[in-house]
Amino acid sequence: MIGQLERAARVARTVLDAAADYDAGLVATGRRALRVVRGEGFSMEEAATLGILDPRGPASELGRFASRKRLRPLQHRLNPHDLTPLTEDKVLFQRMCERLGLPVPRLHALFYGGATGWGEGDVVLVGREAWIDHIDHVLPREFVVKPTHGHLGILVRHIRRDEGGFVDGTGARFTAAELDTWMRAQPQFTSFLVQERLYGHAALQELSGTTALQTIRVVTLVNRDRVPRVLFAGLKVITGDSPADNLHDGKTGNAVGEIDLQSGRLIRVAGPGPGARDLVELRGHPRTNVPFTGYQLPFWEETRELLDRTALEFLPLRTIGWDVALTAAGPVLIEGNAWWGPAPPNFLRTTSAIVKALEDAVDGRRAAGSARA
Amino acid sequence: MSSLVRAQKALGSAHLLRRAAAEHDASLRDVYRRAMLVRRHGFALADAASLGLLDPRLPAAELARFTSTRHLQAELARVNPKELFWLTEDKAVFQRLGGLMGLPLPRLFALYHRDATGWGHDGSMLCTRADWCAFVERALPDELVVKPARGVKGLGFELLRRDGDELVSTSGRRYTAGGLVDRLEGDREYDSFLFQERLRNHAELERLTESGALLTVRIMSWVDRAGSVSIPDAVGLKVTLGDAVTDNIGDGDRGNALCPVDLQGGTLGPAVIASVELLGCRSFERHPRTGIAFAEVRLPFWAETIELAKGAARLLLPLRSIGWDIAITPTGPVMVEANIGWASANDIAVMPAVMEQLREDV
Repeated sequence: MIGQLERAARVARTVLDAAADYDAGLVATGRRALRVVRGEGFSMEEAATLGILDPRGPASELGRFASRKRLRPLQHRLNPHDLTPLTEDKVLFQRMCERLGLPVPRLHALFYGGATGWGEGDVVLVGREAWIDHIDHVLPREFVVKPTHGHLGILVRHIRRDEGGFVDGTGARFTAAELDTWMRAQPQFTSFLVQERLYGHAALQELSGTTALQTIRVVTLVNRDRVPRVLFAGLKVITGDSPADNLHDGKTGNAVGEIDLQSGRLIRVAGPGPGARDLVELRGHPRTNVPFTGYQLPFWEETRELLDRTALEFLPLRTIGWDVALTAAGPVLIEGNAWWGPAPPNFLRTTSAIVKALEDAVDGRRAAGSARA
Repeated sequence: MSSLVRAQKALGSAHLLRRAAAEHDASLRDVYRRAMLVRRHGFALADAASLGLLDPRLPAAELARFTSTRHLQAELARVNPKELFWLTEDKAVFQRLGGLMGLPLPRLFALYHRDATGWGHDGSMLCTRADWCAFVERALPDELVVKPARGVKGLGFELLRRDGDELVSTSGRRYTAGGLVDRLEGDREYDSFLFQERLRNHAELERLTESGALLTVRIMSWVDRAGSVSIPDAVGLKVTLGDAVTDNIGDGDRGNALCPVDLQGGTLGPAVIASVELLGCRSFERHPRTGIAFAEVRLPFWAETIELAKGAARLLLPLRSIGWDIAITPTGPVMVEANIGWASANDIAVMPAVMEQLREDV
């Protein structure tokens, strides 16, 4: 009940703010919000960031975006649901990539709150004491902890050893025992991977003035002839002090750069405006002033080759959103997402073409299917 | 649970208790008391009945020789992360990862997923009914197995043999290519299926049953804190005694039995059926069809079979206790299934001893 009231208050606040920002009537803005949220399936935060709460915005404008609600049925038709653990469980994804010889971050440990854990070298980790000892004495100087079934970067921590203890990306200091307690105490996720910490290629660090990892999101679709096709490629750009590149529907302030598929150069970059309201195009990086347009991503050809191969290995999952880190040693697969979200293409207003490609793939299936043998 | 279902369950339990009282020549009151006692030991009424535990004359101390499914599953949940459930319990996921790990598995011909794209071993993307029909007609061998990716206890399993333009199931059903696709499309229980190679038993096992049904050995593996793998002494060969198509034991109602296997030498012990129908266990010294004494059978490729289970156990860490179903074929052992919630083998083993191993971490 309290949660519902809080949500209603948030919605009302967003509508009030939007009405004021767009100098529009409250009723008209409310109607627009109703259509966008109820009809199109956007969340209020998402709609505010995308700038689609303006009641004077043409209805056709909405067609340039897609909500999760619109994408999900298409993904269901293209991705067999029972095979999605291969991407949605990051442990199975890791194991599959390792076996296929695909580049992934090195796995240091697996933590399962309710059961036995695993450490590199097939070490069996049972109980709190074993974990504290392992964190203290076996894990490397730097590592990443993230939920095995997480999303949107929630609960991802970049950790390094410091003065006999540990410190994470936010500057919080803790001991091995406190990290163990933290992992056991999370209500949302009960299991975590401990992985190698990767750093972006020096060119990307120079672009954004941060050592935090900035990944590219590439959405692939494999057609009926087993030919993989890239539907979208975007660089997630850290624009502020965020320790991660996640977009989280615009809440993190990070931006997305559209990548030219042939050359691997940035075409344009868009991110949320002040207060996570509306999208604005950025000509250069706000911190470093490096111009975005024409910026050449490193290892682009290698990245395309890697994804062409990987997309085929994960068949019959046909459309996957890949997160790839471009490191000094080449591209590394961070994640695959069978239920990839629309935020990166929405930021660049390119989602309609992607949805059309997915619909064509699904319709091709339906059309051929209706011609019963 | 609806009140109707509860009432049906209560009636079923009452009927079972009355039957047990008659069978064990005991009063209904004594059987009821015993039922309450076995429930406190964690047993479901049907499981207790199938092991003969509802007999009030069985000394209460004897119950300590058995382990209920509930208690076993609680221990397994402690050593096997539930988050990795689909790694073994979805056969398509296990086939993909197990294959990449180098485990010997039945050859995969196709994956069928209702409403989504399927996969064919010849590189086909099976998107439509027409794709599937063409694939079934041209790309499948003369014999194959179709089974649900998330099936249990052999439910939904079909062994198919090509006969002209049709595929004939061992149950006698005949399918055209389109008929088979319609059958999968219309399945009420499952929405994804594997098309797999039909495996054959080693000649020694075929001689034992003369049934053609594939027999598998159920082997549990255990990885201790030090990372050493052992095989608890609860290994059994699932044996068809009649004409069953699969070797699944089910609730003892399939006409199949479990033979204990001597861990060292791979020699069989008498076959045992534990069933609610029998209200206890029934033992067979000889196979009822072929007359072969079980004690005279020594499993071929036994050392290789044990090594396969041990090697696979290491590969699937941090799952620490897995029940493997391994077929022994003319060319060696082949991994058919893995189960992280394997069933208690009270009928052939002293399960509390097995449980002791699992509890070593406590």
